[in-house]
Amino acid sequence: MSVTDENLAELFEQYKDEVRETIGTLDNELVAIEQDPTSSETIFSLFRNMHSLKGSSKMFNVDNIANIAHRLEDLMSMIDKNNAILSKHPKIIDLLFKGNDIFRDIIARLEDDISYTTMTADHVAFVGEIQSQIDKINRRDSHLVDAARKLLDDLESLMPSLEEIDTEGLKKDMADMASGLALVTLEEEGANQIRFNYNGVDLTEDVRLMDENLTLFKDGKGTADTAKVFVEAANRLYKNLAEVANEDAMQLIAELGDGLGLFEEKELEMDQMMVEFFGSMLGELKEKFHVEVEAPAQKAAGGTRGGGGAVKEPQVKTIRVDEAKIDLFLESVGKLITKSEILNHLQFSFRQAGIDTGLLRDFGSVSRTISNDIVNLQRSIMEVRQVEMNNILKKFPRLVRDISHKIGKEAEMNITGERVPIDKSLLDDVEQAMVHIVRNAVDHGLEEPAAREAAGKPRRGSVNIRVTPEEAAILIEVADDGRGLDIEKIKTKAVERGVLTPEQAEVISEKEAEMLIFNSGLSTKDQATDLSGRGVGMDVVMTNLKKWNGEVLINNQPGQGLTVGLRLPVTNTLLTKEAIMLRVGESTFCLPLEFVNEIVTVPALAVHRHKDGAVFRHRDMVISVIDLKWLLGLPRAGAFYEPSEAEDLSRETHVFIILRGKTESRKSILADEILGQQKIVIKEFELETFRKLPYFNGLTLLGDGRVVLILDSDKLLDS
Amino acid sequence: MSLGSGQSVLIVDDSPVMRQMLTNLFVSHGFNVVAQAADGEEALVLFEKFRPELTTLDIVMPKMRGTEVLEIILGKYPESNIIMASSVSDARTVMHCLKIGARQYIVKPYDEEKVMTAVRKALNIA
Repeated sequence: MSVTDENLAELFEQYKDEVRETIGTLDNELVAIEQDPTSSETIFSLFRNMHSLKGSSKMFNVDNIANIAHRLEDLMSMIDKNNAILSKHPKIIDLLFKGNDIFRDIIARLEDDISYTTMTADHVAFVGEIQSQIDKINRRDSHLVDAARKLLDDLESLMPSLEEIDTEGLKKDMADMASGLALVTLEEEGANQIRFNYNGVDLTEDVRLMDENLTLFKDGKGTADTAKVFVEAANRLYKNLAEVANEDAMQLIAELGDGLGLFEEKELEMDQMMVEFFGSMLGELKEKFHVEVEAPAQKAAGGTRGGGGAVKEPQVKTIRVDEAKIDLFLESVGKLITKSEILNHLQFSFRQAGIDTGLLRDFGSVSRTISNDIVNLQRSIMEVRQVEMNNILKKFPRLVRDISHKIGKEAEMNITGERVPIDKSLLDDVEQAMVHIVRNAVDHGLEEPAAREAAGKPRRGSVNIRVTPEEAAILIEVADDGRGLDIEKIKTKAVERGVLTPEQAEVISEKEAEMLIFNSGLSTKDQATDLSGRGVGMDVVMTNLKKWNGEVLINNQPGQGLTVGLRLPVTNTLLTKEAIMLRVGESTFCLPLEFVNEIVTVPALAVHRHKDGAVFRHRDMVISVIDLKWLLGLPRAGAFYEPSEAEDLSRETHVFIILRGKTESRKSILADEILGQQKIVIKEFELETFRKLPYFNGLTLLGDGRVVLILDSDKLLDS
Repeated sequence: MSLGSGQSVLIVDDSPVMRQMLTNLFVSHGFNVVAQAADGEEALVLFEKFRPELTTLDIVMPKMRGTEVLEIILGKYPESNIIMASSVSDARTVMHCLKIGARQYIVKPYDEEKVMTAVRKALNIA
């Protein structure tokens, strides 16, 4: 600047006076804001003073004040946009006071030491403190949380009009929900690590080019060439986005377009201001379209490449997310689902309390939005958990080769469906089960080469794995072309080993006999020749599969081969389930919909009682009745096979829930009333004592705060 | 040869020291700084009074923001030569101002060359 030294010294004195004055003003404003943290006038004034302080300090190269004021200005600008922040984060005021003290200290030191203008370690630490406060605000202000928090505020304002009714319960619900919301802070951590393209347009490459070249300018290494590459990439991005973007993003896209236009029209240069402008556009775009590019540091030096004509290889978008983080996240989502049920319940209470219908409608729509958001969140996070079946399938060709070599057989293996997705949490259990099944197929199923030739089969046996995605399940089949199962031999062996009594062996069905191959008592040979190095018994494997509600299918063709199938429901890996709520006596229970085959109403006369219980006929099937009152020892008034009870005499029909059984015989539960269907979050029992409870496999929390036990269909069927 | 030839200039900035520096700079390049305004409202009054050939306009100010001042002035005198004088963190606001009719911008901390380049472009001086 063409001013004389004398002139400059004079201006510097003026500058220090100005800062002292600003510090005084800031002090007063801070005291005022502490009294009234929502005064937008004071907030704006604080922001403006920080802004001026930054500007003039930069002018005089007083970097320490400029940097600190800059960050505080950012903080104030956030507060200026959302006055509520200050009330939610009262610590910000302490931070601002501390900043003011630092400014005062710097100005005092400048009197003696004109070079005291750089950042000290303390200053750096303080800027870090400001930054973490900013991060905290950002994290808290995710879209979902905002919506829910607004709802809570609205609810709060309703409270006075609700004094008439019992508000204690509502207050508790709201407190629960507020604590649930605190858990959503995980959202960003999960989402930020996912990158994908937007509506089929790959934004990654252009965004990367923009990032790289912008970084060069930031580091003062930009050239005319760099600017050209940047503007080209930005124009491409602008065109792509203008075609695909939704309304929500359109404003941002238009702003980018305007900026690019002005840049050319006004012959602007890539100075700090433009770097800041494009940088902030880019940041928001990345956030909006979930584009994540690799850190420029990982790329080879020099961003000025790529250009318009470069051929872009479609990139495989990978994700790497800590599994524990996903689990934690899912758990939070689960809690949120419960909270959103609370909202439904609140809506019901409000209606009963006669709240204004317009308000009620608004409430309902926000509540629905939140509920949908949560379900979408859950769905997308579940997808993240999926991996391809190939993760386990790739081991099997080697396994088959090793086993067959060891025992002198010849076998080939074919695999189809490697790319079918499976939930990661199922992988280990599925793999263990498959190792057993495949080993059995080679060891017991396939014949010796000579025997195969004698039977007119190729010397080389085959073991095929086929994975098929079904609507709500995944089916894994292991088929061999060996000798199949010899049912009589299995029964004999079972009796020899004491697994069955001779009488039982007489009466069991063919299907039941086939299932014996999974009985650990019969598969001791497997463990003795454990080739995979895993010591897990088949019974453990079966228990694990049952945990996932897996189903085992056996298709035995004696002489031709054996196919063992595992069907694993996909929905099962979800935390939430649709369930029906039923009333039995005074108690409410919950039964996941996947266990329900049919709900039927049967005339009382069609139910036949006998000494051990009751049965009825439905569609030519005899269905036996499970009486929960008797089974669970509930108060028995009105139990249906005690017709002497007064209540029962008035009844003409009964409601039965026919369970989806895995055996030939059908069973049903007698319900006094079906209360409805709803989404539930299953919570496993944490205490060992509870896990031993018969007939239940967990509990769930209803919207009104009641805890309800979840019936375990498998155990009921075994009863 | 100096860039200016006595053209009238209005400086708008809430910081006295900033106003002084810009004034020094314009004067040293042959311009005639007719007035300084410390806030948005004052800027409007002084603009009406002097109808300057060039105005440097800060954005974040008391009473009325620069953006608003710009809109009012351009609404009445669309041909006005206004240069936004602001800091890097206002980038998106500055771009908005350019869109609605500001000629150029200068960014704090000012650099003599940058200021005069912007002035040259704004006044269309070859």
